[in-house]
Amino acid sequence: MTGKILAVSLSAAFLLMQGCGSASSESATQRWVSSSGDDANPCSRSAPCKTFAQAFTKTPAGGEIGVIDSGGFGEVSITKPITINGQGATINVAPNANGFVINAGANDVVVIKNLSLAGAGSATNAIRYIAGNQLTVDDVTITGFSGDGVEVALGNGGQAARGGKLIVTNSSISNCGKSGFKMSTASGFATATLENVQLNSSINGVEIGSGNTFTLINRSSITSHTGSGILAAAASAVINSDNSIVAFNGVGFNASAAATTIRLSGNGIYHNGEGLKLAAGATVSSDGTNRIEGNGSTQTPNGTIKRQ
Amino acid sequence: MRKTMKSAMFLAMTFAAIMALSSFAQAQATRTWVSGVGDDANPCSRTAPCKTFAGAISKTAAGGEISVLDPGGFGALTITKAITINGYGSIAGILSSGTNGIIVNAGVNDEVIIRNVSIVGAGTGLDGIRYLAGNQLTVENVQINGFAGDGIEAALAGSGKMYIKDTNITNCGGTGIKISSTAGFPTTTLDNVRLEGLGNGLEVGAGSNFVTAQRSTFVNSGNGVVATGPATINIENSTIAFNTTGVNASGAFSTVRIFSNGIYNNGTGINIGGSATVQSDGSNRVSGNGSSQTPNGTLTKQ
Repeated sequence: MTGKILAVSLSAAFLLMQGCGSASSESATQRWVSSSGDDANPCSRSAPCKTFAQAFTKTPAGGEIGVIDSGGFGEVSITKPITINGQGATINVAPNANGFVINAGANDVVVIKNLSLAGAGSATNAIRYIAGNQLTVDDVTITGFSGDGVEVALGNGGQAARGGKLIVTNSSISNCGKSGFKMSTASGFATATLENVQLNSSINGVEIGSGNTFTLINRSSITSHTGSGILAAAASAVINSDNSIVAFNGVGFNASAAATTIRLSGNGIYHNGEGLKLAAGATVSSDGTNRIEGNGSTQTPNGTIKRQ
Repeated sequence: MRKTMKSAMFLAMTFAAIMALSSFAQAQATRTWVSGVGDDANPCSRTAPCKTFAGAISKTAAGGEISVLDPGGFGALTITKAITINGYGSIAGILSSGTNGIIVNAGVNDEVIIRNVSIVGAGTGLDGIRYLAGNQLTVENVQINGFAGDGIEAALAGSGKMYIKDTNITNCGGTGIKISSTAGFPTTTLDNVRLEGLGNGLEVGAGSNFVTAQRSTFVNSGNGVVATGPATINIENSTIAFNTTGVNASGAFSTVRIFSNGIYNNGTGINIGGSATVQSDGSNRVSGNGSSQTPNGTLTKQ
């Protein structure tokens, strides 16, 4: 009798070990979606899920969702630290939906990389960042959204606003019905860094709005926007633009409200309807290194960047 | 018995006809797939992919995307509507010996995106990409080589916008990027483009074409950069070397603005034709050329 119990408990232990073994054979933090997946699956590589929303609930904080192939995986609200790695896939976003909404915790870092977001002209925003400590967007192509490509609207979803940081690198945003990149914050400081980003053919390229908003643009190109290439739209917005090409826009740099600041160094500002435009009480500072040629007209900088 | 067989045959024929009709009536998909082992008789779905881009494009809705499932050669095609071709993650090849790789002849509001594709002319192909009509053409992460004609030629009859990014064009008998649009104010933006071993690197002529280029490389060609008509070219932070002529404003009323480029070891560094202007701010490195003219205009800086 005792032997029998022992045998049963041994085989139970063996089964348990088997179970553990199979669980640990896949990364504990990696989950997957596929166009041929099923949300009843565990979101493993061999049994992927169908939607980001389901994969998100099955991914631990700090984990990663990989995309096996291109497809539509539904809007997801990201409320914990996570990485979305598209591995080159194109994500089709449905009409009137957003691609990714980041509504994460005060210390959470979210990464979105290696994917294309296609809005087909009818999806709203590709990426909407309303809360979270930091959002990194790397190697992402965004095209065809009716709203903004990337919108930072910290605290505008009703959360306790506490500022946030956005970093966009090696990405392109084009053909959006509003702005390629737009930022505002209800309270707290919002900072954005755009490095090697190509923005083209939306209404505005970069639109920085209300709140304590600080933007740095470097080594980027902002072209063919019917409105403004770079727009400081509300008081206290600060934009620093270095080493970038701003061409073929309605207005190149537009400090359109009082108490906005745009600092320029080393930019090529060519063939805009109006190169620089300054509203009363706005400041555009330069160190004298910007090439301003071939524009329909242009105002001149009214401030100096100190060089030491 | 005979009657039964006849009606059975009739039924079978009707069924076949319905099947055929239903396959014709299939709606165009917003995403289609091609595969090296596909078949153009397929619906171009992920599980039943097509064999060629040309086969897939007729089954793809306007504004949709053709994705590439696995490496392969997918043939030349003509694009007449808004579409994205995306070979990301695979080697998506177009071998177009004796013909054009891709012709873009789309509607006035259409946007065409060609991304992550390798276009090979094998020495006899005509042009890699010919952009004849369409609101916007984006070329991103594309490799073009071995065409007898041009790598990319924009020959628009009206306004259009072209964006070329992270792209290499090499070893074509004609020009790497040739812009000969004749009407409107076509604009072109180049960022991180390599033009090497070509008849000419970048050639802008005919109508009022406007081009900006930055962080690009123009080497081992006839002219690195040449404006043959009343065009405007702005070149910043680029390398122009080992060409017969580096920067050539050869056309009357052409303007080439140069900022912070390295213009090295060309037969002629800078050449300026009659009534042409090369504007500089003194930030270009012009050295080791057989000869070079001096810029005759100043680049306004503020």
